[in-house]
Amino acid sequence: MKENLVLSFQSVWAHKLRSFLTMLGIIIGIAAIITIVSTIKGTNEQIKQNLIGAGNNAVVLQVYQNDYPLEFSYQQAPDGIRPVDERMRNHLANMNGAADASLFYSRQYVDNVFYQNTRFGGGMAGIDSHYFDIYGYRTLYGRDFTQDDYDSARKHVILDRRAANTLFNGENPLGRTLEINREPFAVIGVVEMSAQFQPTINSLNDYYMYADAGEGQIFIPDAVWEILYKYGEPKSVVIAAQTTDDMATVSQKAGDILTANLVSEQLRQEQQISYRGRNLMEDAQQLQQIATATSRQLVWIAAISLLVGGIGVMNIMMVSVTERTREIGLKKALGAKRKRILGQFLTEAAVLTTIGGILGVASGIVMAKLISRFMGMPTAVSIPAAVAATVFSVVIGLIFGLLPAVKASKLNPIDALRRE
Amino acid sequence: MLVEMKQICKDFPVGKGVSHILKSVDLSVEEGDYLAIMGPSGSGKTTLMNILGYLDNQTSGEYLLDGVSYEASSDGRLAKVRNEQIGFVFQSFYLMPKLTARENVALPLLYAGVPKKERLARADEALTYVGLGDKLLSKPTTLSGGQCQRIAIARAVVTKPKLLLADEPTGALDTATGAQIMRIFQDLNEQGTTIIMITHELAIAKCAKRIMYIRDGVLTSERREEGADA
Repeated sequence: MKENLVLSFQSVWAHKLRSFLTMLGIIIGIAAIITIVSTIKGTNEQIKQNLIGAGNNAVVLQVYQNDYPLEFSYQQAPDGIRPVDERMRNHLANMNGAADASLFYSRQYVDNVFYQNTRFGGGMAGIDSHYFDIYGYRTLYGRDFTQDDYDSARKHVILDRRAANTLFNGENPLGRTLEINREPFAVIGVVEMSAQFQPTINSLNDYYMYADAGEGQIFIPDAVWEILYKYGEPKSVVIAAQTTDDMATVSQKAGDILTANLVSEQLRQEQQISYRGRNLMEDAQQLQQIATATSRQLVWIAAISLLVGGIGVMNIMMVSVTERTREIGLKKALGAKRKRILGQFLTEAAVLTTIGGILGVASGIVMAKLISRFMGMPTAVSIPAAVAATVFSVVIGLIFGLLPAVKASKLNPIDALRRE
Repeated sequence: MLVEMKQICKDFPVGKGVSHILKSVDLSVEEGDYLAIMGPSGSGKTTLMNILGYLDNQTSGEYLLDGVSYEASSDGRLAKVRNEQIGFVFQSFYLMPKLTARENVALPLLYAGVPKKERLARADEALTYVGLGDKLLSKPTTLSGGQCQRIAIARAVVTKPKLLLADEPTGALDTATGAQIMRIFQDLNEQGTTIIMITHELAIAKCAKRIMYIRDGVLTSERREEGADA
């Protein structure tokens, strides 16, 4: 084995230019794969950071039917879900790993909110006093809801910055009146999420996802919601986890507690109703899957380059076998067995592609760095991918070296020696 | 009897027909013998040598080496026989140009699975025996033809084979160097190595204990045409 390696390196070194040209296909293929994988990984890490950074570790628990959250804009709440009360909120807020909890009503789309003749097409939430803290909203203009707003169910509304822009188009919204469900509401404040959320849009799906939040969000006190929408709607819960790592467990535990306490056994069994957590980690993973799936196709294209490179290796190994026919014949005459000749040529092919693979990984990393520097795309070098690529290049050598090596090992020593 | 050939025939396909290269060759060589086979080119002497060295198969007939027939043996088994029982010396040396003299000589021992230290020690010993004790680390490209052939002889005898096959060992050398090679053969034979040597030079053939002649695929003990091959 050691002899084979030494011989192989000598042989590769003896034909430097030829070896390099042969490796080129492998180098380009591996470099392309490493670059693409680094870009995927970089994008994915940015998605994760964006979403988690934006959410302040917020874990949202909603009523789910099967695997989808119920959306009360167009779905009826099933009977038999008991309301979440303050005692339950307290319990959730003091759970292991939780920092705070808020109860809220929400609709993703409302169609009954107007400013004069402009219809508002964003989302609305009926919130309690913990909500803004958990999501990290800060007041831009005006003020937050007071205890009186909640207690007396005042018809006051707070807009987020985007809603203020869509409805008032730069005018000062404070003191204006919105019509919600034909009731007048006074605008008392404008808020903004303090964590800056820069969406990374990689696909049409991403675009739709962010476009949802397009017209912004308006907030009213939860007590008012109960007046506006006369039937009792189940509230959603948002819990601030203490750390990002706590999000998954908090989500799981809170979901179990809420379902066990509030959803009747019958509803659970017959309609698959439950409270479930949806944390931003999951959102991030979904987005990451989209980014990964898109780029995975690129990896396949790069793999074709590897295939072509492998065929190049096979070709040059065939030439090498022909050139060294006499050497092979001599070795056989001296008592080298087939296995040894096979091993020698296989090793040589593998050495060739492995060097190519290592050079490819190196140039892939350099490419990735250049891309993040000059094109502003995030990249992150993946060590497992680099190792896998190197191992894969060894395998390519073994696969494409097999045919020439078998040819060499089957050479008849006398035919081989006769060739002068 | 070390070598026993009975009615060995070898045919090669030529176009649509066959060419009979060897026609019913009988050959017996005892241990310790030193035989020279003479013949003009195309007479079948190299083919005979290849069959003797298990580099080629006979078309028909029986060949026993040291009483054993290796007909229908596997490739691996034949490689082992070539490695352990037979040493080859070729007209054009066939040394590996990138290996040093001692690495070249150690090659058959590598195939025999001898550990590296012992390999090199035995290679050095063989090279010293052929008078190249001072050229252990030289590469063949820096050496003369005679020196190269001596390396090749060292390589052939390093495994201590019973049978040494030499195909025109002096063909590429001048007379003086050729004589040197013959002295080594002489000495090897005195130490008990059986040698079969192909040559077309009578002067070289006369170094052997006996001479046989091959012509048109027929091996005989008598010279049929005096001076034809000189």
